[in-house]
Amino acid sequence: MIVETLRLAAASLARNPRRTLLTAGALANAVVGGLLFYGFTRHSYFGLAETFARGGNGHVQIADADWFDAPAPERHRVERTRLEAARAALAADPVIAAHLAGSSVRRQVMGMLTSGGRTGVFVGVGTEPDAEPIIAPVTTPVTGRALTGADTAAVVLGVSLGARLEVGAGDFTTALVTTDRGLTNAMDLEVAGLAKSGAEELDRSLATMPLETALSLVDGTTVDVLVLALDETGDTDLVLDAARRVLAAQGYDELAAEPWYTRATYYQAVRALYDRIFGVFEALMALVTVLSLSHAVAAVVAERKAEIAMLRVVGLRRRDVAGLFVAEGALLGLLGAVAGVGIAEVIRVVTERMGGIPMPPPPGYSVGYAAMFAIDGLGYAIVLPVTMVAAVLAAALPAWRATRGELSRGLAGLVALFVVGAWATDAWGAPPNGTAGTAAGAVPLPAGSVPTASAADLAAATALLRGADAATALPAGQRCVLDVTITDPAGVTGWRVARTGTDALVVSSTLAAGRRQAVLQRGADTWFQTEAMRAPMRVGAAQRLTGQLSVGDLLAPRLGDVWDPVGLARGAQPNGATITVTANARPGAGAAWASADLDLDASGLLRGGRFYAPSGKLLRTATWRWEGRALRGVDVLDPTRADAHTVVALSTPRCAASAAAVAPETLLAAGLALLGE
Amino acid sequence: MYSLRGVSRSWQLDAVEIPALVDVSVAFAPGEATAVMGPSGSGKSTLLHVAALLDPPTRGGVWLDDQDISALGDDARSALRLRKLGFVHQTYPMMAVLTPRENVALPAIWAGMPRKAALERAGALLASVGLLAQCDRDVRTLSGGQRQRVAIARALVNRPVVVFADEPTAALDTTTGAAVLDLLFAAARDAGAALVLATHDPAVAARAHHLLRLDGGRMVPPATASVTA
Repeated sequence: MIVETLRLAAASLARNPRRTLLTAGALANAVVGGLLFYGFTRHSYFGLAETFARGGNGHVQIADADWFDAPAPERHRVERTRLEAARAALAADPVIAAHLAGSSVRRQVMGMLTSGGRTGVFVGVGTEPDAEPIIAPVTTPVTGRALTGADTAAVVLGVSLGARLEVGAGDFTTALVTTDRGLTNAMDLEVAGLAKSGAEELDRSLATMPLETALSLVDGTTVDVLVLALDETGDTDLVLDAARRVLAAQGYDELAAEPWYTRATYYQAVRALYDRIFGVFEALMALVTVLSLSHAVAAVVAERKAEIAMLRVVGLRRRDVAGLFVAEGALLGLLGAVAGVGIAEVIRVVTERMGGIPMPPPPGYSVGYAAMFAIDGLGYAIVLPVTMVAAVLAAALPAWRATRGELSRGLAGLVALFVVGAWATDAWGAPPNGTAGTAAGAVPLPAGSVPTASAADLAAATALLRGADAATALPAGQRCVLDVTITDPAGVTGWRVARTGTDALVVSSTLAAGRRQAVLQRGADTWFQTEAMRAPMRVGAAQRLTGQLSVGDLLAPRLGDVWDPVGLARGAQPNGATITVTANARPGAGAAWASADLDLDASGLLRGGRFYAPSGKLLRTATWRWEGRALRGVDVLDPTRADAHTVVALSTPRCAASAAAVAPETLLAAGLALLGE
Repeated sequence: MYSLRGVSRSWQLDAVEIPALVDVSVAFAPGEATAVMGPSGSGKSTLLHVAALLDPPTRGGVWLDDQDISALGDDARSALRLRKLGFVHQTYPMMAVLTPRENVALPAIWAGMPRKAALERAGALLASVGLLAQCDRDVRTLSGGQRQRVAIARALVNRPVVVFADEPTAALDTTTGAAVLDLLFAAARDAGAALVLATHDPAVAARAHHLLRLDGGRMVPPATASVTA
């Protein structure tokens, strides 16, 4: 059944390609948004990781096991010779050697720098200058030069610290520190250059000097950490495992190896934040997808109530029928996913070739960056299932609701479809205006009921109807706009009806929901548009509009050549007549009703009517409410449904000059705008 | 034997209960036709809907042999509609995206018949109702009479034990309606299915083996009254 379900779903989607594409486009939009957001976060993570690891911290750090998290790490330093020996052992390991780009022993130094009358606190680090281009390529000096192995008393300062001390490359500054033995020591250092780390806070205290200089300054032999820089950040765990293995095997039990990501607290914080934002974003995307798609599916379900009823009647279970719509949702989701992946990939490639999107510096940073979209398999594994599940859920809910209830209600709905079908093709000739209602006058009737009228009586009845028709027709070439308010159990709906030539336009607004829609009947075609639709939908003669039966009830009783009087009787109205007429619906258009009894009063005004199905079943009764000579409203009552009483109130119409032939799209858009007045 | 035993059905309108069908008991024999007549609102459609398991009875039950099938769950009733019952409605709805052949084959495929075999059976049924040439056309291009014949073929495709037809010719002109009725009677007879049809037309009722008159939801006279030889 799955194959058959998918086959039917695909055929249903193909029946309205434009709507299918629009809906799939909305899904594709969600996929693109999700993938790009994901790609942005991944690229940001990558950038943060690289900044940290290649900013002097390395990918793997080796230090005393207690040094890493100690509140006073200076108490857990290691003898330089011990760490150098460990470095040699690590470098000898083939796995580490294969991935190692460089290494450096580091020693932190803190103290004060003075230059003339200016003083600044510095947090310095002693490094091995020859390894710096590999260990910290991102902190290359912006002015002056980098440190070299030949330097013995030189320092590179952060740009902000340099500015505070008012020194530049080639100047000298005096460093004042407390030695490892607790004494005070001072040393003149040449400012080799000024560097920018990217972090404003760091640049205010940054001082990088050769390791030898640092150790001389503090008169010590201990160092903090050995950092290993790798060719690829992705190899961190591989090298980490190897380093731990080597340290344990070589008896360096007091030493520990830690990866960069456990040391990068800023990276961890940003990642936690972005992951959470991404989760919320995806949830919102899924919600928007469900809401927008379920709206579209609900419209489709409403259109296809007849099919749903038919499928249930022939024996499909509720879940079978709902499954058809779920399959449509799934196919739409698949279509949207494929399109979304394609679009996201194009954006990713184009962005990459452009060198990224320039972004301002993040909080706490002084340097901007180029954003790109690093979309990987995990991104697809998150975004695509979320979109697919959202699409399926969105389809399942309205479909399941549509299959609810007794099946005979569904069959009753089939009759209702024909009411609207008839309206769509035989719209009310013209709404009455303020001068309407000057009919031909009363027909003299014999006393008592006359179920079958004589030829003369029928001719009189015909004349009466034609007269009423002529009286209520608008002058040629005029458009009339009629304000209508329909009250039914579902709520209050405002309508406007306009007619020019053969075009009949009905614009409506559900006042409670504020939703507008427009329907245009032009020749054999009916056009339909709601605010939610980006383009109007053409409804062919074989298709039906559903869901707005009330306007069909209003418009069906056309006064014109559709009348075919077949019977005449003394009417229910005082001194009036009741004329039995048959509908003269166009071939293929279906019939709203087969016959009707119309009650006219003594002056020929239509006062009420009863409309019958071809089977003779009473479909509805209507009472026309006149005020003076102007029609003020119609009460429509479906005798089979007590809750289907519809009150149609008409306001004074406003007539305007006729417009030339206008495209349906334009007319529908104008109709929607009309309601907004 | 397919039968209704003491079936009543009422509608709730506000606080008022409107009886649509009152204590109807009737049996439909295989290969025989039963016409259901009565004025508008007499309960003809309600009877067909309850009998065809579209609506549950308020009281009583619909029995197939010795089982009260109206008491079954929705899935089981759907399965029975699919495999044992056929329904022809006056408005002959179709799946617009399917050809007439596919429309007819749809219930058979859903009943588990291989697609190819179902399409072959659908083609044979359409040929028997004179629509061989229209088998693979767009269903929307068919006339009302043609669509009703497709609906009849669809109702018969799973070889039902009972075919229900609710005013099947109401939306057709006289000539087309007569032809459709001929087909319906012949097809049901050939399939050995009981035919139950609601109609206003005494001429149609005269062709049935049995007449069930309804008035105000009650049977008058008993359904066993035979109107034809």
